[in-house]
Amino acid sequence: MVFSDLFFIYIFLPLCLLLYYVGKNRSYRNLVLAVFSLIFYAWGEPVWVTLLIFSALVDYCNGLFMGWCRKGDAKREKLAVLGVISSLVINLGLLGVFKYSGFIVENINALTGAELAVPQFALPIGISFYTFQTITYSVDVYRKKVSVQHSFLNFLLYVSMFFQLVAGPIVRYESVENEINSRKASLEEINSGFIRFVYGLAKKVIIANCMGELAGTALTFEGTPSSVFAAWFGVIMFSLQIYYDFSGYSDMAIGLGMMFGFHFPENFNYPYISRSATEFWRRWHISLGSFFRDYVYIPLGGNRKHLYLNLAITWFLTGLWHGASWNFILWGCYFGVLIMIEKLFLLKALEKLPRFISHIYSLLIVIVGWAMFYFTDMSQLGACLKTMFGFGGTPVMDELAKSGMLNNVYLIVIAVIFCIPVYKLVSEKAEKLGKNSKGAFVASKTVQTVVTCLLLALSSVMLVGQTYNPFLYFRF
Amino acid sequence: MENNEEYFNPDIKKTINAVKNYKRYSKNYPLISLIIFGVILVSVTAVLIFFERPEKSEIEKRELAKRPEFSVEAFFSGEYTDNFSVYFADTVPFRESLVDLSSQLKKLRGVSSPTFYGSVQIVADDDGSSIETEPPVTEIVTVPSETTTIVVTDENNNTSIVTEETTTPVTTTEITTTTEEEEVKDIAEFSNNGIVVDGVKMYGEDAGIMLFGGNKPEGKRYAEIINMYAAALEGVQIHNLVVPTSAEFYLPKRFSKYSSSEKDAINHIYSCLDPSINTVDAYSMIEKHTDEYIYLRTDHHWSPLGAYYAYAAFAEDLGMEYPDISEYEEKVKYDYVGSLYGYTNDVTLKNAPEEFHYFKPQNVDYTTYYYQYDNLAPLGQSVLFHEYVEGGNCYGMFLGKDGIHTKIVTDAANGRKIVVFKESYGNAFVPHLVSNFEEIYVIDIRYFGRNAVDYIKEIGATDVLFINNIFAANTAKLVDGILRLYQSETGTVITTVPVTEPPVTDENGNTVTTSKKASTKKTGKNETTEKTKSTEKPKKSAQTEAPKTEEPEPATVTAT
Repeated sequence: MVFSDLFFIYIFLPLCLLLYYVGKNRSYRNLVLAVFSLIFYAWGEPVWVTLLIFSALVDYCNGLFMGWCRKGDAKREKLAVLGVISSLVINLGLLGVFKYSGFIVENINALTGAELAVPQFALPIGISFYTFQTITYSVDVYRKKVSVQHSFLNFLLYVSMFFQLVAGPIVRYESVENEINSRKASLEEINSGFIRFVYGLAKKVIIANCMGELAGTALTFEGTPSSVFAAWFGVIMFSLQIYYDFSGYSDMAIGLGMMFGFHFPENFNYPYISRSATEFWRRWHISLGSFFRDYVYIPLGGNRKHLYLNLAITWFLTGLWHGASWNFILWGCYFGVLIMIEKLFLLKALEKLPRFISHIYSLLIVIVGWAMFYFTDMSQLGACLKTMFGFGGTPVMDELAKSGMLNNVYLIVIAVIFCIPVYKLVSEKAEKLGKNSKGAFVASKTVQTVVTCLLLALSSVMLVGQTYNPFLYFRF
Repeated sequence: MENNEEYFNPDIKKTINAVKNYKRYSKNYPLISLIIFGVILVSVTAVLIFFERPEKSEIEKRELAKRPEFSVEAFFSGEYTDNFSVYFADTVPFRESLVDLSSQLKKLRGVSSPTFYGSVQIVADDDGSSIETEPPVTEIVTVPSETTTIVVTDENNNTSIVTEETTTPVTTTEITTTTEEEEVKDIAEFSNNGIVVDGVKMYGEDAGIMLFGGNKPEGKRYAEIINMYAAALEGVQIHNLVVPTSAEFYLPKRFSKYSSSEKDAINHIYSCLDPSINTVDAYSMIEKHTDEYIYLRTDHHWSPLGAYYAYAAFAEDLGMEYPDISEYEEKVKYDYVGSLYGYTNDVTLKNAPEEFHYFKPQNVDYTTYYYQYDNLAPLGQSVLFHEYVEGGNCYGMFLGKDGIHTKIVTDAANGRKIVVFKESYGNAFVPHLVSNFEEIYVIDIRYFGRNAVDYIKEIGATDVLFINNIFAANTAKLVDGILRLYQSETGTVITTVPVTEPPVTDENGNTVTTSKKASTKKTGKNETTEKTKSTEKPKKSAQTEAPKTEEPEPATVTAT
């Protein structure tokens, strides 16, 4: 199941809220959430839900084992490291088998000419997220940052929580430990959570889907894109799509969490206003960046020893995590190299230059990065980049891309405006005014509620509209 | 000290009062707001659960998804939940109005300007002359004579028509007409390059134009197969008439890159035909009348008037007299909105209904008989013009349904008998022939179920006319159909294999592009690129972990 689905919004969610809030008992509430989460997952993966439970069980046992080690003498305590090793081996093993085995075998075949059968695993939904989440638990238990969870139900709830199961954010056990055990959501938080959910939904359904269509049209080509404009337009639309899609999903996850009393860390912080690649990665998919920082980069030695090797490893893995394909690795390494250059001298240089230059630099490298992310086919990527920089031998403009832009120009402008923290500024201002005057408070809250209702209605209508499907007849 | 207190006190008090005040007036807000959200959620939920769900879409002309039956196997394969999600989303109460509303909302996203539907590629130079495609790769497959049945594997729509026909006995009065559903299907079968709507005008009003993709190798094959007919039918005069479409005459110059030259494509076919075959130059005749209402604005067909001019060209070739347009009885249907609206759901077309003018021959006596298309079982006698049709179905008035085999007997008494091979463009054309032939047999290439050569000999035809629009004459499926009629053994009923695919909502623009290009457009080199594309795309989406049942869009990016 996905969030941007009428069944989820109008059936699954209300039912879950209702059953959750009719009971007051914490175990009951955890049970409701765990059961709904498993249904949510099994809806899309009726078989591989077992894998999820298995992964949870492994780390639950690892936790118990490490707890047991701690209670013994110094010799037994040393065994605790086995818990971490087991977690890493099993979780990364699952990831390797289900996500990367096909890719690895394909490459071995290509390199050696061997004709090994390529394993065809369908990637279980969310596996990259939940394996990482369980790893953070085991590692943090080992590091004594969190205490051992003795209830399997509670641990399963942490792993399977439907808010962040499918598309993150990667929630560390550390950040929800207390809330798993005891939490409460005020009416105010439930309200804000719902509003946040609707904003995320609107980002996904109203903006991201439209940008996606435009990107798809402009970037589907044989040979070269139809014009320089089409190439840039397509890649920029994809940049907007991926931001609104992904940050919308995170908003929905955070909002849903709030409705049930969980407080997840923010995952996006206006990445497109960054002034360098380094800053971009502090604002983009924050939970992933910080995961790699705290569980790969720093354990490797961080900036204390062989800094550049550590950076290279971290960014190679970051790229690889996004998908088993060379373009993702290229994309990761591209950012790795940029960040190294920035560390060497560029950051200091950028700081001395006028702000707009560093903004342009940063947007440019990010957009070019998204082109690498978009094309799994290297020759297509090459053709697209060549065209973007005027070496494609194509005309500057074409009617198709132009009409695509004109037909959606208002929405594109809105999408661009909301990439900068306009909403944040306005809502903070309203909050401040509301603190001092009743009139301002009522006015701002009324606007908020009305806008939320409108966005929900719009998104729902668009979701129905998406089922319009006369193209059916193309399926001969 | 006292001074200080006096100085500070009122300020602190003020702040404390303000906070108290804020607490008081903000206390009830979350509850009120939540009640509003709750009421909305619950009412929509109630509507979704209790209101009647539609089963058919009138605009899209399709059956909506059905509620899946639960079974353990279906559940564990993921099929049940997938189909349930599709069913739930596809059959929302008030769907039609909501879909309409969403298409109107989409128009608000920007400045109104030409909108392209489907996958549009550059297929021509700036001046509109077509870019040469790869040399023909497809060969004419001659099936050994012992092969009796050619299995057409890819005709899901056809199959549904088969069952419909065979289960419902049609009596004289109940000849059904071509439904709009089939018209929309027609579009899909053609070698099209998308549709442009909005910003395109015909006769001063809003129009939709289907862009011509072109496929010369397929056109050559079309010609070669007709040559085979000519070789097999000595003594019978073969005529071929390829009809241009509205894209050729009404597409604004700035879009000419997106539509291949139909004139080139027609000439190419004509140049590949055996000299014994009469090639009818309908193009020149039609070209002279482009300021008249010869093409439908909201439909992919020509208008009956356009068909008349093509007929005039044909009659001139035959050296026969033909009535002036004023000698016909002209009738009008109002508020016609054709297949291009069903295809695009673009409100511009809905808001620009057209008048459907048609012309009934006068002073001629003719009788029309209908036959089951596969075994030729007589269905009885009926009218040639099914004038009861209304609204979007107007084009279906000629000859009834495409799938029915038609025979018209007239009082021409000149010994000329003609067999017409056609797709739906021919429907508007055939009625004109009553002035010139004493017997007219109409074979719809897509549905006829017998060996056509035998049939032509059997009835003793003097003339055979192939009339097809240029999209059809460049489309593998139609060309295969003509070949199939040539090869199939006498009396064999051609079986079609049912391919039932439930409507799937996660069909995205890309997939459509791929399947369409692979099936209709170019050949050779492109097939391999398509292959890599189609294997890579799904893999990418799997790798980047997009939620699997994502909306119809290239949603590869959600999770990453």
